Amino acid sequence: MEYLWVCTEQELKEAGRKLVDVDGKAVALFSTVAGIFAISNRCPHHAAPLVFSRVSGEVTSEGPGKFGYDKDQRIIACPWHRREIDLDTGEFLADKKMCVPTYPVKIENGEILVGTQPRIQRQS
Amino acid sequence: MQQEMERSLAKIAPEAVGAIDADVHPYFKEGLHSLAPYLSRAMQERMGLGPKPAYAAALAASDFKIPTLPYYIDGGNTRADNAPPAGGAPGSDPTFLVEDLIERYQMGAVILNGGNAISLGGMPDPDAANAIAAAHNDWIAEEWLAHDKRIHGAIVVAPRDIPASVEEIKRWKNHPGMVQVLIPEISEHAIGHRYFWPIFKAASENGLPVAIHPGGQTAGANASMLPTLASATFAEHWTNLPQVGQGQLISMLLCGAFEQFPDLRYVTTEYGVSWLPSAMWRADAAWKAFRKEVPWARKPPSEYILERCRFTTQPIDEPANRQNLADLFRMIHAERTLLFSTDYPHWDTDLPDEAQKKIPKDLRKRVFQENARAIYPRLRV
Repeated sequence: MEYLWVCTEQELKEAGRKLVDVDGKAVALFSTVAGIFAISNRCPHHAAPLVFSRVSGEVTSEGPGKFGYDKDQRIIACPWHRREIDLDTGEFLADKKMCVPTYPVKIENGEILVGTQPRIQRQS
Repeated sequence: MQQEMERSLAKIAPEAVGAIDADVHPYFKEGLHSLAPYLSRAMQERMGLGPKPAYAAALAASDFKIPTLPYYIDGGNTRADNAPPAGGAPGSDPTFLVEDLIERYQMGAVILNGGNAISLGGMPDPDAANAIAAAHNDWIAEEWLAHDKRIHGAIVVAPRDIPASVEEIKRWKNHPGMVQVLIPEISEHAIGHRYFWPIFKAASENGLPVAIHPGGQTAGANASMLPTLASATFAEHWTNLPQVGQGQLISMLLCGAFEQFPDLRYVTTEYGVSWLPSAMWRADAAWKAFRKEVPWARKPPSEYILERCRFTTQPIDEPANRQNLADLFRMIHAERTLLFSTDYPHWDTDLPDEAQKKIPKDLRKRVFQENARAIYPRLRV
């Protein structure tokens, strides 16, 4: 797969997030404590710009009244309708029919490269 | 009269013969005095069921009552043609109920929901309420369930005393005629609140769905549960009732009770269904957005509805275009969710011969019979 340069690692870490063009596709980059992620900028629900998403983790539960927390800094919540999306897989936590393309990322000598083909082919 | 009965019998569609009526109301012949044989002497005294001085007869405080709606409704909310020939209020004579409802409409079974005790949640004194609930259930068993096997009952509980409610459920759990638990609503807690969970546990462990029904929304100690607060008229109150049913349903869907109690089933009685598509879609959208508030909800609320929640038909809304109603039934998956009910002997009844015209033919068997038999496994006929 072809990888294209998008920005420097330093630039992304300072901003935390950045909208970039990868071979004509709008891709949202996120730099969190969990890593660097590349995800299509278009939410498949209502086409919201995902680069504005809040970054968090997944609230889990073993039963009513019991709260757990997992995948810290690997989950985003769409800025418009708050759908939670896994940055690794692009899957919606509460809607298994929905999925956003995510892209493989390489860091070479402080430069960020993003693959031109999505990691997950399924797109809703 | 005979001619009238024959006409009714002839109009029942084959799919509606043997219908299960999920909402019928039995009424006391003599007010609370009808419960006297089932109440302790102390409680009879507490409720003033003994002789009373004539001078106070017209004074409100001399008459102990289960709190109810603050409205005048013609005929006390009932139909004149349901008045038993032998006397008494409509719905107060088991023999006549069998003739006038079950046999006239060739029903398979009926479920009695509360009647006078349906608004018991408005009674602030838990001891009096417990005594009435228990006596009411004894009265149902002795005078109705023993009268005809086609008649079934709902165990009425006094919701301001949860431990006593659980004991009341256990007292009836082996009675073959009791098929669900009716929780008279209270305004302090939505029905899904953990306050009620001991009731859910006791009911679900014994194969008994829990049901709610309008009646207590403005009664006695209950603050108005309607979104418009205190309705000025019964017309306003009746029109807005579905919003209470929707609020209670959403509470049940998100509270986690369906996860906590795998066998729990929930019946929304007489709150209508036309609001249900919106409630399903909106609840699913809320869950998708705010799942982290209720992470125990492992599936969209609409799936819990299909699996665990049922709704009674009466009062069926009457759009000018009947196709609208058929479309609605598809939207709510009526083949799984809808239970036929008449609300006998109330004024806004839907009897089988009219209701069957509004239910598409391919849904009738499910709605009139099969859905009820699935949700009420304890039906004895």
